[in-house]
Amino acid sequence: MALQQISDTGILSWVCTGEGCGNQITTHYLDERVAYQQSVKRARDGFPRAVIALPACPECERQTALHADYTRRDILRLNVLKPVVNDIGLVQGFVMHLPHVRNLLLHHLLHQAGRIPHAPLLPLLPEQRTLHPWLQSLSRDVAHAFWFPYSLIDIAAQVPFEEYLMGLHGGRPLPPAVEPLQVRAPGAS
Amino acid sequence: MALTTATTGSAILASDLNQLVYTLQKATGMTETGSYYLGFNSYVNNALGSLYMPSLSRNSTPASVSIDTSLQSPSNCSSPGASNLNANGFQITATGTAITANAHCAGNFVITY
Repeated sequence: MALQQISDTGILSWVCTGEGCGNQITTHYLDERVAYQQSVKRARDGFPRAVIALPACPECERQTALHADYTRRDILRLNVLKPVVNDIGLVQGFVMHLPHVRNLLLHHLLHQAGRIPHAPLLPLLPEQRTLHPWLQSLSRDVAHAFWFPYSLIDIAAQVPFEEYLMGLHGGRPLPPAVEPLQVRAPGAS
Repeated sequence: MALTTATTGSAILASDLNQLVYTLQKATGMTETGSYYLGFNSYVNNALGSLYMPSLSRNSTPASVSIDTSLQSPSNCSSPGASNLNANGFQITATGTAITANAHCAGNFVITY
């Protein structure tokens, strides 16, 4: 199962895909069992081929490994990027599906912690980019779902990020900050 | 999930074709499942055994893969790990824990897209 969440404190959570297991597993990204594993150090296209192994499920011992070292070709596939089209079918931009966003974010976290020698292909959202209240109110993975495709398209010289987001928003100004989701316990009023 | 056949005289619907498309090219959130059996000679402790599992799906980038040893617990080898995951498949590796002609393990895998 792909990562379901990377919390602000660095807690990873996912669900075991073992038959009849479905165990919810959490661990911190600095857990030694979260390991970058390279089987091909450098393929012919210049990129290593690696996974980020997660701790085995404590119930059924199923081992999960996340995709790491995304190449440009990996990212350009349509199950990674979803095109955003306007009313007449023109593509205005792309958003990245969240499982891949979280894989890239985890790679960045491990790189910053010195556990992976190189950063992923796509950079993190720079701090000054998050000044817009709407962007600030989004969770880190959702904000990067917009940022990663933008940084891949490499249109920074022509179109600032906020204008790119306005294009995705039908040319309208970005909305004000969104309210964070309120998770209520079952039965709570 | 079992695929359905189109019947003579009936219209072929988009859903008939798409069940093949979604087998050969998984969409986000879909999974591919299967089994593996890894057996190898361990001429020395820590000898590497590996096998490549090609996926049925191509042209879709997987987000993760998970494997278990539910069909055969590791015998004379370590717990297997998955690596080299890409749109064509992934690699399963284990290392020998003894000098033996028969190190093996087997189980199921789930690739998540």
